[in-house]
Amino acid sequence: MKKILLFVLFILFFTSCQENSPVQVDGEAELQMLVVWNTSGDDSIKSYSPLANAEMILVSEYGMRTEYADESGVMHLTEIPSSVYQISARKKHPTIPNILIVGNITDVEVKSGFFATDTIFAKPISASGISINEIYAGGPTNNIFFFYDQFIELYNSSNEIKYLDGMQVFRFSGTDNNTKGPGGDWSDDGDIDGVTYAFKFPGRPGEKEHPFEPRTFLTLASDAYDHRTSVATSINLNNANWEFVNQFNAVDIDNPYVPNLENFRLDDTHDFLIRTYNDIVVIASGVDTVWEDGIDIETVLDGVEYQANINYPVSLDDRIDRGWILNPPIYTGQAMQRREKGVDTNNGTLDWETIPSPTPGWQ
Amino acid sequence: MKIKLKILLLTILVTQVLVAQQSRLDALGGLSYSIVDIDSQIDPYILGGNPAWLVNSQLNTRLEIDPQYRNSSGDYHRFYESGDIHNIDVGFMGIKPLGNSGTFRGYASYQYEIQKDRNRILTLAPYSGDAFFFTDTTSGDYRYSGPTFEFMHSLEVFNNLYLGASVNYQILDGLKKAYTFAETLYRNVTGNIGIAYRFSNNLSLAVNYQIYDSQEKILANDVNNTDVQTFLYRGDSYKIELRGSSQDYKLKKFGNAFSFQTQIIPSENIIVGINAKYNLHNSSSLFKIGSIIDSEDGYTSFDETNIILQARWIQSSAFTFGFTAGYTGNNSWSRNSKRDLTIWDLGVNDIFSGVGLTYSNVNNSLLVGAEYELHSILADSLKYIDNKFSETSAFNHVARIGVETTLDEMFTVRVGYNFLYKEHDFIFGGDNVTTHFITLAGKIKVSDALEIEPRIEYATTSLSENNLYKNNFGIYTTFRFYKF
Repeated sequence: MKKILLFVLFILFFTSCQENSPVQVDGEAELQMLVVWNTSGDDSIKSYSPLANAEMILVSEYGMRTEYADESGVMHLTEIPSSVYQISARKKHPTIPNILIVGNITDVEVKSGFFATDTIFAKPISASGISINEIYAGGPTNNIFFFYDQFIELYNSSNEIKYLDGMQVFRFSGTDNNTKGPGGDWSDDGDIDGVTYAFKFPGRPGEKEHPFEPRTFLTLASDAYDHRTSVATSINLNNANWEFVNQFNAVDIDNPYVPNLENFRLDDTHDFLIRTYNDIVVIASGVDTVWEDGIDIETVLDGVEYQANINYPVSLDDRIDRGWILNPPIYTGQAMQRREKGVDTNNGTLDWETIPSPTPGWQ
Repeated sequence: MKIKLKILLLTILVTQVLVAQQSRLDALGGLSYSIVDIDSQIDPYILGGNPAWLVNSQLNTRLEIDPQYRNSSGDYHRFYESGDIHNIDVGFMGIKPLGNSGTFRGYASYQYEIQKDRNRILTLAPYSGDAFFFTDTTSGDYRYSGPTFEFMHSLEVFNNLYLGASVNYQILDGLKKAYTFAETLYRNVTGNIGIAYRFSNNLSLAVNYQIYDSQEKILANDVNNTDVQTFLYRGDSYKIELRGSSQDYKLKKFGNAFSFQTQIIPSENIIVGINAKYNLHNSSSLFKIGSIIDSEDGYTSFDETNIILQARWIQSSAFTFGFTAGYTGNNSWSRNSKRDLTIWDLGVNDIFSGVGLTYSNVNNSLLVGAEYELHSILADSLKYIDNKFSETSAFNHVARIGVETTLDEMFTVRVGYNFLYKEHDFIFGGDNVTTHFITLAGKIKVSDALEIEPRIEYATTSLSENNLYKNNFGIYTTFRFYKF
């Protein structure tokens, strides 16, 4: 009898090792978003209307998905997986061309078994200035570490000629501070720190020697030559509009037919090359010419941070951009581009997308 | 005493015959419970894998060398599987009775497998029930190779009390020959300890406990300097992207199983055996977050119950009848460990029963056997995260036929045929699936100490409604030595 009892006890012990499944199951979350926009045309007068049939971009750890709001401006999703979602609503203005109505909401936690609801307040974005439109950093398909065909594309989304004189292009990667990374306001004094490269267009702000035509693109090449002669899968940048040339580097490639942005950080001899997998690029008006103490945020025209891993912290100051671009795999010939040219909601996660091949000078 | 002697003599006689016929079951189309053979004995060792009974089950010295080549090809396969698999394997198995010191069994093998054009998946066995699939973006050839070793020892510690243990160690090295050029290091260790007691010549009871631990470590690190882009699917639809200069992933499995066997001999020509096994195991899907720290992303728990009954009645020297019945229940659930949510809950229950008969002529120069089994299978699939829910039931039928004829003292010819009809194929997903399996084999008795058994197998499986098919082909040879 004792033996039988011991045997039964052993079986009970053996089966008790089994863990139980979680009571809550995934895939049962419900999300409802109402998208409204102020139709009064004046921020002080609140007259909200639903943004009917708005395109809804949802970004989570599971990637990006696109949905549409209904006639009432409501997006209702059921049976979606639990995650934290970044959501952007977009629609072209019903009457005014070249204006997009955009609204974002971030960090919406959707839990299985619960109903999450919120409202997105969208507003017309009159893309009215110079912005970074495309970054190609990861190199073409190759196995010799070739990534020298990098370029940055700018877009003038306004209806007027802008002037590039004295305008600056920066790379931020310095990390002198323990709490804030590159592009952060280390001293809380209204500027961003960690300048690695500092290049500028010729002239000074206010001068009008270098026009940027409305609704056009400019390609700023690291090296403006036909890179296909080095790697067949690369691109031809002979026709770039501008070229980064470090005048303190005697061997930096300089295409004589392409005007130059020159280095104004005197202690640096490198060409303007950015990291293939994560970096920060900022353009500024050029009014703040002292880079050593950081660049005044007021002078920044646009800035974006891209990175390969969603778990890395964002370091660019959120007054410039609150998100980050998930850069494409390196050495695959893919590029990063703004979803809609000139539309900058200061959230790179929602404003940018990956494109299969670079498009210098066009979209 | 007389009965004891009779049983002992019968056992010795049967065993001697069986030893000479060792691996012929496969050659006869897989006949098992209705045929007298050393590989189909109804005992705790053969039926339940209990090492304690080795000393009673395997009474003769032998050494077998088994080189083999297998190929599986065709488009009837699952999404992540290869449609063209080549496997070369050579195995060495030796059994040595050691008198009062019991019986020792040793096994070693080395396999080399190429899975051509395998789609995306980077783990060795993606369809093992867990909801996690680690993939990259390409299809390409995957090569696995490595050895397996097993040692087993069994002895009678006291009168009629038997103790046995075994340890099995397998290691595989894998390499994907396309981006992301992932490397796999797989190892599996299994320990098995058993105890058996012969209460009388009519009744024996045995129990054994198995513990196993495996780890599959994958390092995707592209040699061509491109970023490694990998995905971990949670379920069928939702995936997280993982990217970097390299990516580490681990799949750890741990389990233990408890089995109980009994052998009942109600009369000298009837033998009944039962094996009941309860198996609890789990797998963890892990990512490296530090040099030595792994973070669990997903976890799957499995519990499996297997009960099988086999009975054989040697009605005369001409006829042997067999009967089998059983139940298999497999249940598993997977969770997203970071959010503590169940994402899949799967269950499959199989109740089956079968009968068989073999006939031998007077001088044993001809044997004809047939078996038929009916399986009633019910599967529940609750894929919460994918919003896919199904309950499927089906009857599957298996028929086996085997013919053996002895041409002379040296040559024996064996032919086997199987027909399988599945209302629903619970592994590959099709309905009304048919399989025809043919095997052609022979035995060349070179001397009293050496036999050679070559065998060719061919099977074709078709899903007629979609014009999908799969062919399996194999060439096997067994070199058997009775002295070493």
